[in-house]
Amino acid sequence: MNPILECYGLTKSYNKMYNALHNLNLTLDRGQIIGLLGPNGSGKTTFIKLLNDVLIPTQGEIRINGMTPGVETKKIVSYLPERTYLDETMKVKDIIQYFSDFYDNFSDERAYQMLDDLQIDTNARLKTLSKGTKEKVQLILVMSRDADLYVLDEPIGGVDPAARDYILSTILNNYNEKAAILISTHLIQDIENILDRVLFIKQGQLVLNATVDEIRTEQGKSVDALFREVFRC
Amino acid sequence: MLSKLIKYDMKSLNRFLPVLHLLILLSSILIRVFITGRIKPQTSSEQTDLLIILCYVLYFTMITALSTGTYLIAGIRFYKNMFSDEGYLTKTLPITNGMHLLSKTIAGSIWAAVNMCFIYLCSYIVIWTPYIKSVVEENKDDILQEFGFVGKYAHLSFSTVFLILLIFSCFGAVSSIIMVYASVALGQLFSNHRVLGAVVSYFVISTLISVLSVIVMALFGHETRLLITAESAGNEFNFISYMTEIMQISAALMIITSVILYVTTHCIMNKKINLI
Repeated sequence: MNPILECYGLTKSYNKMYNALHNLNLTLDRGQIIGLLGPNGSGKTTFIKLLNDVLIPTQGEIRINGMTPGVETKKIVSYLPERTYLDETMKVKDIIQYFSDFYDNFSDERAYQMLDDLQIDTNARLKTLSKGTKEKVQLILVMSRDADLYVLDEPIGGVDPAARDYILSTILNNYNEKAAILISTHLIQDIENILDRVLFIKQGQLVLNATVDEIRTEQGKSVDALFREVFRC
Repeated sequence: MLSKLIKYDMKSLNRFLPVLHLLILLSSILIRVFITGRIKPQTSSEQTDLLIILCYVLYFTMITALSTGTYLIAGIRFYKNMFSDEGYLTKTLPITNGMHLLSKTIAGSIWAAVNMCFIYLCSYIVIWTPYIKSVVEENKDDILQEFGFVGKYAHLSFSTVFLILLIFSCFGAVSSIIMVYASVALGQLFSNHRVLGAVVSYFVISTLISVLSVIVMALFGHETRLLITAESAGNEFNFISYMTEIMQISAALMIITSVILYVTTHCIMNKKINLI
């Protein structure tokens, strides 16, 4: 099976003086949960946006399942941005219908089940929900797809610890050998146990690409401890 | 996919525009019932004349506001859906930018055309009172003669002219929607002032098109100054013939500029858009 994600010399600059991402080379295989870790402004969100074709690379190349980002990759990538991206005047059930209309791999049944588990009213308009509940709805939508690559930008930042556990178990339940999950977060301790691999990004460059087992056995540290060491201010 | 996109784009416009249009329709009916419908020759006085003038000014202000509101809402929805936070969903649907643009152009054009039909309907309600109708009927031959419904234009009826004007206006409305979308897309190139960039782009595009129209009209011999000169020299001037030529040139210009602006919007959406 070909890698789910390949990047070659990927660079993104927002102006001539500053590269948000610089010459990033990376290959990720399927069947892994990957943590994309780095301090604020390190280039994590830029990288994620490039994968999802909402930013255009300044240089370099991205391949998702062997294809450059476009219509075909969007069919197999399920993306959760770090902001509310839904039309807030819509009802939850209308948003479910919207996803169902446009994504062939979206499971209404799974979405309704998760909404029911988290006791979210499907007749409620999004603007009437709390920030945390909106985030839960978005995550449910993203995880209700049978995608090859899930890209989650700060999926647990705004939700309570109980919901966080539910979300992490949901992520784990969706994990399969065909799919890969890329998670960007600051809450390393909360997700460390579910990660297979971590990527450390510092000032737009990849400084570490290792499995969690390698970090634990070779360096004798937890991912959280290593993160604090690498990114010490 | 296109039909699904149009369905959602229409839904998003339908939230605001029907209410706006029904309000204007209601206002037009009220103006007709309480003001213009009561105009009679024997009631004419300085005060009533002033009231009627004010009423028409109010009516035309309302109509202008309706059109502006329609294009503004279409432009805002295009901006929000493609380039704001909502763009993170829209841009990650497995659909090409070309399909998005086509869907939004169709939805916007439907509303722009509906808006135009409403303007004609409201104008009919406000202006075409029994009194005005009887005056026109009485002087129909003179009016037709004065407007140039003679010779090859003699067979044209008022309703045919009205229909041609309506169709032409609807095409103009579609062209305006394309221009609004192009302005919004061009505004995205001003990375720190995107909304201001869109507004400035709109005024720049409309000014350029106006200047281009004047030049093209002059090239085809339709400069206003020449008409005045021709009239004062006693040459025969046929209004319908003049308007027909003006509309033909305008239609050609409208098609050319719309195609250029549509392609420009498409290129910007494909090559230049970065959602920050």
